[in-house]
Amino acid sequence: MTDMTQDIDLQQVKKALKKEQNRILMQQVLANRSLVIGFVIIALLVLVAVFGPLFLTYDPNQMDVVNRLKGPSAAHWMGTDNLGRDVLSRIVYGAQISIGVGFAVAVISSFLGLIVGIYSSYYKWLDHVLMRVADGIMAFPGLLLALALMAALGGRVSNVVIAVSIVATPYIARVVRSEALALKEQTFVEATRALGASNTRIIWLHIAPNTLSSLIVQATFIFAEAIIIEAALSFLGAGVPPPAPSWGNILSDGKTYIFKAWWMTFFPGMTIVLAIIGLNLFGDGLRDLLDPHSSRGKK
Amino acid sequence: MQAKPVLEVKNLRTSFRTERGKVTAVDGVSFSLGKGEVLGVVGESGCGKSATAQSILRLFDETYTTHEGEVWFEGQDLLSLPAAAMHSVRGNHISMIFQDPLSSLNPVYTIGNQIAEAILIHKNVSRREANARVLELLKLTGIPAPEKRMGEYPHELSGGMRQRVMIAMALACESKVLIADEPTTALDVTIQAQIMALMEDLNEKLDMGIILITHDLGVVAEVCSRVVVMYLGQVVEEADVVSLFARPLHPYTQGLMKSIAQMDCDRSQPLHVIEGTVPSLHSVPAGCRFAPRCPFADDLCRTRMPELEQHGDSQKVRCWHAETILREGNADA
Amino acid sequence: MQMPDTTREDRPLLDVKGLKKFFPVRGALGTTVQEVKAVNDVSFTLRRGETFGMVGESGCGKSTLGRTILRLTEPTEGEARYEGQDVFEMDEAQLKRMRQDMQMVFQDPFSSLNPRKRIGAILEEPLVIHGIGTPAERTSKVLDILTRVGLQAEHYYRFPHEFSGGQRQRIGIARALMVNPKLIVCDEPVSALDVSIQSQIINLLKQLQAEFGLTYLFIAHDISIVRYISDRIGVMYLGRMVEQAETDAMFAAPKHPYTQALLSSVPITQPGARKERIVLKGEIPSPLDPPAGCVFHTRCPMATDVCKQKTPQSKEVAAGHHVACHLY
Repeated sequence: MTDMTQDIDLQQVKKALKKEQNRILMQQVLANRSLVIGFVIIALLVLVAVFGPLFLTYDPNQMDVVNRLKGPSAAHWMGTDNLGRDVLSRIVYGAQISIGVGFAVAVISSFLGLIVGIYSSYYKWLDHVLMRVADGIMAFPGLLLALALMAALGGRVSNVVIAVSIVATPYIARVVRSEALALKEQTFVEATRALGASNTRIIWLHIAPNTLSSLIVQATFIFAEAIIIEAALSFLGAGVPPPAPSWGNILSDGKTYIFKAWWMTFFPGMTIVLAIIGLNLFGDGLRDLLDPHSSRGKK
Repeated sequence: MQAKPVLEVKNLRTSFRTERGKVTAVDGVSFSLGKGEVLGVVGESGCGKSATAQSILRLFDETYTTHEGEVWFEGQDLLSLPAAAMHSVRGNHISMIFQDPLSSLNPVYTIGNQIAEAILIHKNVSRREANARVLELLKLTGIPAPEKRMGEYPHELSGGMRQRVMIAMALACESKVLIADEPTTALDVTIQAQIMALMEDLNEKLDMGIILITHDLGVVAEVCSRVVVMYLGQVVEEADVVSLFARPLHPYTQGLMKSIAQMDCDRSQPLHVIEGTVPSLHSVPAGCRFAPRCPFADDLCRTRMPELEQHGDSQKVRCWHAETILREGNADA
Repeated sequence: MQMPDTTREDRPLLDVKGLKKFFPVRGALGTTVQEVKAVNDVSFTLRRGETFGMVGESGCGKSTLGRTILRLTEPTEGEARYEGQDVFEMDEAQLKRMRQDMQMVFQDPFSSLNPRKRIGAILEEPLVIHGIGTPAERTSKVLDILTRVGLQAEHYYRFPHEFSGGQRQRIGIARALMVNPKLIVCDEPVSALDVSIQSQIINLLKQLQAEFGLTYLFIAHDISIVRYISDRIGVMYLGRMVEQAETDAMFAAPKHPYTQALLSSVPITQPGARKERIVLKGEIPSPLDPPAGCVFHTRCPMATDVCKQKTPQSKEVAAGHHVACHLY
């Protein structure tokens, strides 16, 4: 028996296994309708944000007073706004800002939330401090707190990211913490301790990787939430400073003309809705795919 | 061998629809339970012993489950009864107790209330009479300080006491059949001894038929009069308890008996081992289901499924080689 | 199983004296209102190469005992001398070194392996933690151990959920073996497994013991399995060790009334040929509030007045046979 196993080419086995495991994963991904639809929507929006500007004929900030408040036409697919700017161009450029802000917030708050959540699950005294701070932040409606923070920080894109990240971090931290608390009681953590592993090793190599799936799911929802808060802040004039075309700014510009030029609010509004639906579908799909309690386990 | 059976299971097949396709957990199981008999159903996890019990009472969600075959009880086929009629059978005529009694008791009512409720549903008596009966039943199950227990909630009792309460509940309904699914598995040995003594006692005094589902051959040997051995959804052997332990015919039964560390086994010898593991129900072997792990298996076993056939006067076996095994004996068992 | 007489070999591998582990129960204001006396004044020794079986019913403290000895939880009082050095006095560095020698196999084969790691990574981790070998050496060591516990090299890249309970328990055993330990605490290693798989694992443990000269502290509630695998047995009841003896002596003539009842409660597989079962009255008292005097007196068929007042001390009633009971 020993001879046979010693001579086995491990790399070969690894390749074959990886292939098999990837095939199974692929099957599960494709069978997950909301994941696929959500992914397609988000991918489309990201592609538009990145490559869209190459195909646009109008500069998003180029004013054309003659053609102001024109409805959708062959020249301006989504019409023009009160200053004659092409709405389509503004939405495409706005996608860069809005999706960029959402993504940055998701990444930053995931990172902070992971650290806060993991450490407060592991050290009791730290838990008391950090979770009271989190409770404090969560006690405010998110938009209100973001508004206040913007007032303190000043209107810049980077400040929008900072403010919304502060609002979002506790939500990630909560999820990570509750997951980590459950993991801490699992025997494999004790088993690793019995091997002589340090706390840092247990935290980062054993507990943290197991919280990642919940964290990623939560992060997609935060992504969506951040786009909404950014839009709301900009709409209220406390977000991305105009004339930069974030989706919220475009909406804000359109609100005065809502009865005269519906396209100024309809198209950016629909884009936001599409992005949110895409992200939420994607998040739901991911949850089904990654949740170890769902069908993926033994049965 | 005995008078008319109380409960008769004929060719029961239970299948579930799962994400990975249809799974047949119980595949053509037949047995009968005589009046006042204790029938043991043994097997390892996944053998379908619990699924059989749950199918008898139709406890599965029937949107995902299909039952075939017949379960005869008091002249009725339970499987063809309308769902509403099953409610009066469950609890009323056939009671079931589980491994974890805590989940079968309602946490917000006292023990006394719950048993009294069972009596009031089934019998036309006053509350006071019901309460008196509850006390009587609790005394019968040997629970310590029964008056005090009546006013307590399930979480205040220990595992052994909860199991006694469940038994009292079955008695309250004057069930004719008690199905006990691993009733002592979660209990400590000294408490297990108490519960087993209680079940034997009730069986003798009240003539209640008991189906005892367990993985513990020791428990079977001590309380059961007849035994059904299951493997991968099928009955592989059925016999009275004395013959089964004296002369197990199916290679699986033999292996199972030899592999447990008996109290008098030789400690210097390695334990007997059944090679391999129980296959998944998703990939049931062709032919005899035990063939891949069986020391006697040949090509016939691997291609054709044997039937459950009578051997001797009290034993049924599902094995192609039972005759040979019977003739040559299992010298080492 | 003792080796011929050099002083080092004569010394027990592990010498536990007066071990206590109390868990505080905190009231509303964070003050300790009560204590769960999980392990109360337990002493025993582990000889080199033997298997010491620890039996008792749930809540008797046997698992806490095992975990305390490995310092997975801090003791309240007492000492545990491993190779002459008190485990409870060790600093971090010494503790880490000790953990190469003392390993553990857990009950639950499902939660004791990290679900996100491949078997190879799980088994290499102990070597990484202790800085043993190069990556290539670690891998070949894993492959070696995998075959020794009855698994195959192909399993190296698999995830835990791809294995059955018995196979996972083999992986758990392999992990404990990676650092060449001398002592393994087996905490109910087979109680979560099917009967036919139990015997496979028990045989494996015995075979590995012979191969690597291991010493086992075997904690279980299944008396027939403990009898089969152990050289000596200790019986615990409500945090106390009530009896310890060589296995054969214990089964031939159990002294403590609790041991007698416990052994007689084990169902035997001979229908009809049943010996008299001593059915104990009542339930196991809560370890929050153990009875005064002898902890067993509330259920003991032979209890007298002295049992209610005085805690019996452990006495040696025959060579190597210790009993804590006023009857002796």
